[in-house]
Amino acid sequence: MREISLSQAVNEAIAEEMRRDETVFLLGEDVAEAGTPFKVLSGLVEEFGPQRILDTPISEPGFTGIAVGAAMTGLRPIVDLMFGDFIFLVMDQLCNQAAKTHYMSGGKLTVPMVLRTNLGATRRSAAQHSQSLHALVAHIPGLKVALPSSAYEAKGLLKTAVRDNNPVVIFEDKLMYQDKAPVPEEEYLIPFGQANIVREGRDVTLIGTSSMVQVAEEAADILAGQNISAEVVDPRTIVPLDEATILGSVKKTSRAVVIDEGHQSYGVTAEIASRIAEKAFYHLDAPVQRMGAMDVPIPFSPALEDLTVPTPQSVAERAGAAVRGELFHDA
Amino acid sequence: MTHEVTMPQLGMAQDTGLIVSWLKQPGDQVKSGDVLMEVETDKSTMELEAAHDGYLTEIRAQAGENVPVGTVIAIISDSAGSVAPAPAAMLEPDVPNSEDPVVAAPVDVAPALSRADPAPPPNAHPAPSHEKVLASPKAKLAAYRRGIDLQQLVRQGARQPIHFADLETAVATAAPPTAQSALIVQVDRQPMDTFVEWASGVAGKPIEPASVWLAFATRTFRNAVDSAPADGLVVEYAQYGSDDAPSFAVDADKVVLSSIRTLEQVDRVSDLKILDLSATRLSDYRPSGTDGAPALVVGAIGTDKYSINLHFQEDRLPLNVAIALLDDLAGHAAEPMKHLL
Repeated sequence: MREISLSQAVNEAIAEEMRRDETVFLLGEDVAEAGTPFKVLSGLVEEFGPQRILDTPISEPGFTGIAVGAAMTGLRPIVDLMFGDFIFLVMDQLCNQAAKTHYMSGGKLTVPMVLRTNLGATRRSAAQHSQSLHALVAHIPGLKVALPSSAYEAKGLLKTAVRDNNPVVIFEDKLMYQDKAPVPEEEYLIPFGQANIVREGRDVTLIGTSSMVQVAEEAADILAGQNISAEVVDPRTIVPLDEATILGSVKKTSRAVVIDEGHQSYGVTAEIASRIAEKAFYHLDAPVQRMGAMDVPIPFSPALEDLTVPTPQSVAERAGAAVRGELFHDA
Repeated sequence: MTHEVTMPQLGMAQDTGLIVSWLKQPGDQVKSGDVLMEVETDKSTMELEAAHDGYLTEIRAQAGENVPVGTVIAIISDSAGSVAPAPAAMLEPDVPNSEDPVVAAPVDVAPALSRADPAPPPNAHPAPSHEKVLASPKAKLAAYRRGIDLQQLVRQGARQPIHFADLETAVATAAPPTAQSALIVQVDRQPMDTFVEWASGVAGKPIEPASVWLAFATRTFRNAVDSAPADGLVVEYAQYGSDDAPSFAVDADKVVLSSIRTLEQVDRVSDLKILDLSATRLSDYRPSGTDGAPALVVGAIGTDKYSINLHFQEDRLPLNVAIALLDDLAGHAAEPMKHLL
């Protein structure tokens, strides 16, 4: 199978959906001639023209609001939010308007929009361009949240997002745009709410999101060298969350480490860990472990920034301790 | 027949009502629709009407009290003479502030009464009699299902917190279930002792009681079981309370008593063991026996009786065979001379 980069996969997903459905259009900053800072959108304006690839002023609330209105009145906008950190600017449009319109209109209106943005640290982009803020929107009922972990996942999930009649926020890892993966030529979709067991294992379940899936896989390699068999589960979407697959895996292995690049406190790791504790409690042989980004503003200093996110080594260390029964917090 | 009058909810957000005044007094006859009292809410003062005909027999909240919505504030009875029993909570001297929403709620009655009762409530969990053991949920559940005592594991030195794998280890190293059955018989001591003396006289040298027990046990074992091993019946004898090592005899019933030779060791497991406690005051010993050989324990009961206990595993020695064996042996012990026939 051919291998393409994550940015090419996203580009293909958008192009295919725009060809398939003329109500699909894209808007955002530097999306047309500039082709976005990550070069994800190169060539789209040439094919679809400036009517459907809309360059906007630097006004996230403005163009996100436009998208909400367009979605309510029959179009399928894809909003390009250049950095995930800018999601703070569009909270009202996203959380108060898009998320609640279907409910508050008694089901008469839908908001089939996609907000494409990114997450991920270690790009030396400093505290305001390095955050992973998907937990913020996952908290709001009415929004779906997808976290692709590879080029293959990015294409399949984005195409599903475009076809969903609900507002969907999809976070790509900005460090992974050039990472290549096998992606079939033929069309495919990845359904929401179906976790992927990336790797089967026996002793511990590593639940990773987005780029943390790669981290978990590398950790599993390290653990295999210690004769520890780790299962890696990628939820793919955190809303809806495929609880059954996660619980099934943990019931099998009796141990879980949840890895996500959002800040650890009050985040995705907390949510998943608590569901495991609630619903698989009697299967647990070790306390559920959470590994998120350190609860600090992401430092600009490369040496410091690298310390804030989970690594294959740190995950393997924690998972190994869980398997060996070394995790004991004397409260 | 009595009817409770409760504080009504007169507004959406109303939690309590202030009783302004009672317009009826205890003992008054009331008709449905009569105004009983005035109640003030956060918005207005309203009148509360009786919902039943009868007599106002009891007023439980006085004018000036702020009463939670739903609280019983009065009782209307069908007859003037019937006096509704006051709930216990109202009799408690330490009734809390009437703004406390549970003041007169029936659920408060039980705790109020139990305070005077030193006995714990019948469904209370018994106080844990053990130290708490730290174990993972999976380990605890598995221990519960398998009947493993985590306390015991800790006493045996298991490190806490206990994990599931620790249970596996514990089960693997634990002694296999013994499932030992026991049969017991008592016989007079005198015939055996006399016989030993007599036999020694006939042989012209001392005959050890051990030889007699070995001969009798081998004979009765051979009688009881269908087929004896081709290389002979091995019976082991150990006298407890002495320092002598166990000795072994092969086919001890096939030679005269004076010719029984005992060996320090044999190259196969014993078919039967005799554990002789008769030199002590003890009557029985229950071997934890892991090799499965049946054990005859000869003990003392007072000074004039032996107890002979047969400990065995029924899957190795069927019960009816064991009964036959011990019954036969008791017969030998009661009339030892028969052995010579």
